[in-house]
Amino acid sequence: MALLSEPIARLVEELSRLPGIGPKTASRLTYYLLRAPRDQARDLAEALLDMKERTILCAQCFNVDTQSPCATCSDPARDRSIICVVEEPLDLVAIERSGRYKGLYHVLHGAISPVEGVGPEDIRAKELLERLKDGTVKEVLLATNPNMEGEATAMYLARLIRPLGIRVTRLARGLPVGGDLEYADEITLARALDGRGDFE
Amino acid sequence: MAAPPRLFRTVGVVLRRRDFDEADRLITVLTRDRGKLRLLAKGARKISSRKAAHVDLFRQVDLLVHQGRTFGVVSQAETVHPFAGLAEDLERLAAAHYLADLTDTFVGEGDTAAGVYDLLVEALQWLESGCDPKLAQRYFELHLLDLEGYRPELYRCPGCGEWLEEQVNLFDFAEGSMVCPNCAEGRGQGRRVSVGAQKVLRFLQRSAVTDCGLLRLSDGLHTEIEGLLGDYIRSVVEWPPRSRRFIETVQRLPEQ
Ligand SMILES: [Zn+2]
Ligand SMILES: [Zn+2]
Repeated sequence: MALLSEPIARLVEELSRLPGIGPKTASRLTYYLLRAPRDQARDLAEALLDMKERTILCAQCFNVDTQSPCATCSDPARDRSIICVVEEPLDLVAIERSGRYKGLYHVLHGAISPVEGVGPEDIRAKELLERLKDGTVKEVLLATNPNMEGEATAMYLARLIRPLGIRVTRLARGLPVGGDLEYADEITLARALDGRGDFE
Repeated sequence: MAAPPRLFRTVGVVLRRRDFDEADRLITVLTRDRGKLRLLAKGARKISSRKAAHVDLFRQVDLLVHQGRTFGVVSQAETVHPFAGLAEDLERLAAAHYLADLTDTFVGEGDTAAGVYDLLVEALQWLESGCDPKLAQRYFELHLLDLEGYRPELYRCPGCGEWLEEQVNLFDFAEGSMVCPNCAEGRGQGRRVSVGAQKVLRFLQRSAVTDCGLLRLSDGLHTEIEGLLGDYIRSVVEWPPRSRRFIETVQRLPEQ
């Protein structure tokens, strides 16, 4: 293979570090940008930096937004008596898309998987319990993924939340086992939200 | 000329899995006939994926694998036994994580593992059926050590060659053996093990799951055995299995 000039090789390398992008796709994107107008390349670079510089984690729910508290947490129309707990920001997006849920959220940024070395201290579990202390919240809906890691996370949180006298619910069992919530379609999710039940 | 694609079929238990790329998962599977395999399950994070459910943790699954250059790629997956009952109880699930972690730690890629595979399936079945999760862990530890060549000697003192008497003897971690008090004094090391703990260890080591189910341990006795086996395993593999910490966390949780 002919040697790539340094700036091209650098971009190929950076792009191939992204999820879902192999070296082939990275090269194709790089050569596309090489031929693209200068403005387009600059817009892309600026969008990347802007995204990094202007987004922060909401100090309350740990969702990603441009402000803290985030738009959801500061929306007066939201029901403050219920918190829906999800693993990742994209799960929150999936639930919002279903249009069925009007409460607040809590993003854990992960799920408990001891075999992978991920314990409760590695996700935002402590922060969730902190939010439950003032008595406003009456229900916690555990919307972790329908797989072994999601179940472990839900069971662990339920053990800590129940003694506080707060109702703990879980998405209905309609969701196919094994996958990630963010990939569920709106209808399936809406059904799972409607059919949520007490978590035993 | 390119070699023909290598396809093979095998049955295994999913020990570990982590997200890989956008929608894929990298899974570690213990099989009876091919030992430990690292496989790529494409699309396995998608809830609509036909493979997703089948490659969940701890599942016993029938796999059709296409051998790629870096990883085998799962092209079909069908559940043999889901072990769904593990997810009904946090202690049980934490124990399953520990068994999978220990298996992954002891078994290297390329090792033959038929014995460990059978032991793992047996222990997971026992856990799923609602046994005492602590007992299942100790049983698994003892029998895994046995299969991997670290069987603790519980009957004869390696120092004087005599049968151990029914008394407080000492466990020598470097030797992997109980030692009589006389010989232990000369060695200047070892941990004192109560008579009761020695009896339970012997029973677990020589018995099948069906008999072990009848065992009832006091908290004190269990703590002694747990600590001894845990430290012995640490001395063998030279690091504490990561999943231990979660078991300790769960033990400290408020009762239901
Ligand atoms: Zn927020
Ligand atoms: Zn001796």
